[in-house]
Amino acid sequence: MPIIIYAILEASPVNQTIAHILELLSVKSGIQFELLSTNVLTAIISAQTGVTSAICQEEVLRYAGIIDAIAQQYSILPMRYGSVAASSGDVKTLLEKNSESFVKVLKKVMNKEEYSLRLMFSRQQQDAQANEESVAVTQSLPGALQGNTENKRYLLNKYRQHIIEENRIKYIEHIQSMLIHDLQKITEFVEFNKKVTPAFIVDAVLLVDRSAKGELLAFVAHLQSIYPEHNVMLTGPWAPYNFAQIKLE
Amino acid sequence: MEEDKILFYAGSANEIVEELEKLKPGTQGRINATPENVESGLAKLVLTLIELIRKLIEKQAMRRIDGDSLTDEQIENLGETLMKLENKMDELKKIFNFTDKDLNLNLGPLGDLL
Amino acid sequence: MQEDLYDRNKEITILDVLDRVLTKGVVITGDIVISVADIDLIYLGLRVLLSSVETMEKMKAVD
Repeated sequence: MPIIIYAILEASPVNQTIAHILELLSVKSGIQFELLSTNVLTAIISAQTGVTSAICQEEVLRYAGIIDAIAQQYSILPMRYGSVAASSGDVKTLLEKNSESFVKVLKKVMNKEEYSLRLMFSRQQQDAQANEESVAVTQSLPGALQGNTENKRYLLNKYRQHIIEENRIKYIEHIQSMLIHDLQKITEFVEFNKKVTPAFIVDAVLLVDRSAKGELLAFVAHLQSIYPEHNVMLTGPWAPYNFAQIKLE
Repeated sequence: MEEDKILFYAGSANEIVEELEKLKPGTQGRINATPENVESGLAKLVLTLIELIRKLIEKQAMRRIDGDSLTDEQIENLGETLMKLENKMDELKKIFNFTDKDLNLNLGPLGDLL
Repeated sequence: MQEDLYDRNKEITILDVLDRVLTKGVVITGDIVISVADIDLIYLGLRVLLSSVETMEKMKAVD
């Protein structure tokens, strides 16, 4: 029977308490969870029920909710939605074959949680910024583009966009390196999403020790105060989704 | 998920929902050739590559302008050529019914091509 | 008003959750070699998620 895998954790701390959590989750979700263990690792699994043909947002959210509930108490590696193995034997093989990399990553995320930190321009501020930039650019145009022909006007327009983009990239890099520096005290695990929209200056994920949550909150409030032109957003704590990307065999 | 996970936020929730939607993994990026759409699938691939090269050329042109080493005549030629190139590209996009968003490839962990 | 804000916040949370659980997290991958008459012909690096691609497609269809 196909087996859904939710999360992987160290076998040692797995005792009655996790069984208790799973029992509570079972009552709420109607899913019968099982623990499948090797010497070092445990996978939280359930049999795949017959309703998978009707996949909907609710089901994905339910899956994520189960992971979330467990992650609040244990350090786990969350599985991506759709992690289904053909049989429990396959799950066991998976744990055994990849034992080393699982343990390594589990050590990294031990007692840590993930947060998303974002810095944004509001729409008003974006417009104001664009205005300011285009004024600044106009003052420093290369002499070669002076002249009022159609070709030059076209190039001038392109050049303006180019400078604005360059400035934006510089600004983003500046803020990112500042963040990495200032976050050092809280965490060394900071990753930036490369895909930024004009509104999103920074979209970062952090892996933070459970005990440092207060420090992180204080830092974020401080960040907002030094960058009043940005809206700072912090979400979490999440299971370490962004720090659990392992290549499995 | 029962509670919301926002620990800190001072801005407008409506704006951020829109922005998050934009960051969601794209649905494009797959070139799926079937007998019915092979023409459009290939055109998409080819136009994506042309668009990539066009943007690279544009970027390099801007760097040359930055260097301020081009003669007036060269500037005129550059402007005319880049303009024509962009217009031609727009024509092609229209013929195949592509938007700018279509002309992109998802390179997995490397992000989007353009 | 208060309720409306609560809903928006929940929406933001849901978008964050979906992004994580659908595109991040541990992925099971495997390799397969397709052979014909004992001759190895095609090597495939594949995700042995039985339903991942399919469910992703369906998710996309839902929204």
